[in-house]
Amino acid sequence: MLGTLASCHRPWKLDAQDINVQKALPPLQFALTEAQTGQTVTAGQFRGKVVMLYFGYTNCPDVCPLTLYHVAQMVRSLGNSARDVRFLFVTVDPDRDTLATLNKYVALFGAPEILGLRGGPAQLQAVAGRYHAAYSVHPSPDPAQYAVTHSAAIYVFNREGKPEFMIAGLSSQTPDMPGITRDLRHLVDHDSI
Amino acid sequence: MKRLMLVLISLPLGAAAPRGADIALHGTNHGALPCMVCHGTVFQGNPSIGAPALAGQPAATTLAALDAIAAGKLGTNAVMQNIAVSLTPAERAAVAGYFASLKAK
Repeated sequence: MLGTLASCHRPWKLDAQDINVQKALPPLQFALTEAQTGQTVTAGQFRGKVVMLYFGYTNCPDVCPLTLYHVAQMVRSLGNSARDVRFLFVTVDPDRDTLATLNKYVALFGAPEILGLRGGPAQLQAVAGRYHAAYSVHPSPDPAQYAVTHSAAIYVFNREGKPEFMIAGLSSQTPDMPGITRDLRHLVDHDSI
Repeated sequence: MKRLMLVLISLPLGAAAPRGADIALHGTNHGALPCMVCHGTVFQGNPSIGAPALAGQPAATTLAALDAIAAGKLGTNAVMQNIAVSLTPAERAAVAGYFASLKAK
């Protein structure tokens, strides 16, 4: 069915806030712990789903909550197609983000398609390095001085785990929701953009 | 006729005042994130991001803060400012009332 759809493939024009990364990034690959079940999950388990990969942390004061709020709205607007989409929130602050904390946090946004993932330093470094996602954690006994930085883009992979595009606009105050949603929906309905 | 009456009766419910608890826990679909996301699951606050405790605050305090944040006179967090701006006066009053009803943590 998907093959048939792809045969009438024409170049898709991405929204201005989305960036084509088909040739820039490797396929989806990771081994991390899923927050709700406590089980190790790998990229292979998400074959058949359009996957959005994101790096953040639950104590994030701005970019992460705003991104997740917009993602939840976008996923809800997909209706039945939402079941074909997963958003993976990988914490870059595993010391403070326990599985329980992470699970509670992602659940707040009310979209079950959003999953929290956590890994040890080596696992995290492997997956973040693979997608050139930068992050740094500077712990401090004073919570107000505990600093975390991270890349804010969402990496979108097709149902086969191949990289398609990066969403850069959802952490802004003026995301192009219809345009970004259109790109995501197109990927749900096709093999590739 | 019976159906019409049911519709008429249910109208006031549909236009009910916003529920503070719903906004605090789930946000709104027009720009307000759930308060819990930053202010903690029992609204105890989160010093690491400068999010103050909300549980047990007098309603007038929360309301004044929301109005000041929306007006750009309080706070520096753009996300919080957008939330305050997005809340209608009725919604601000509703969440303020809800936090006042909680025990301070």
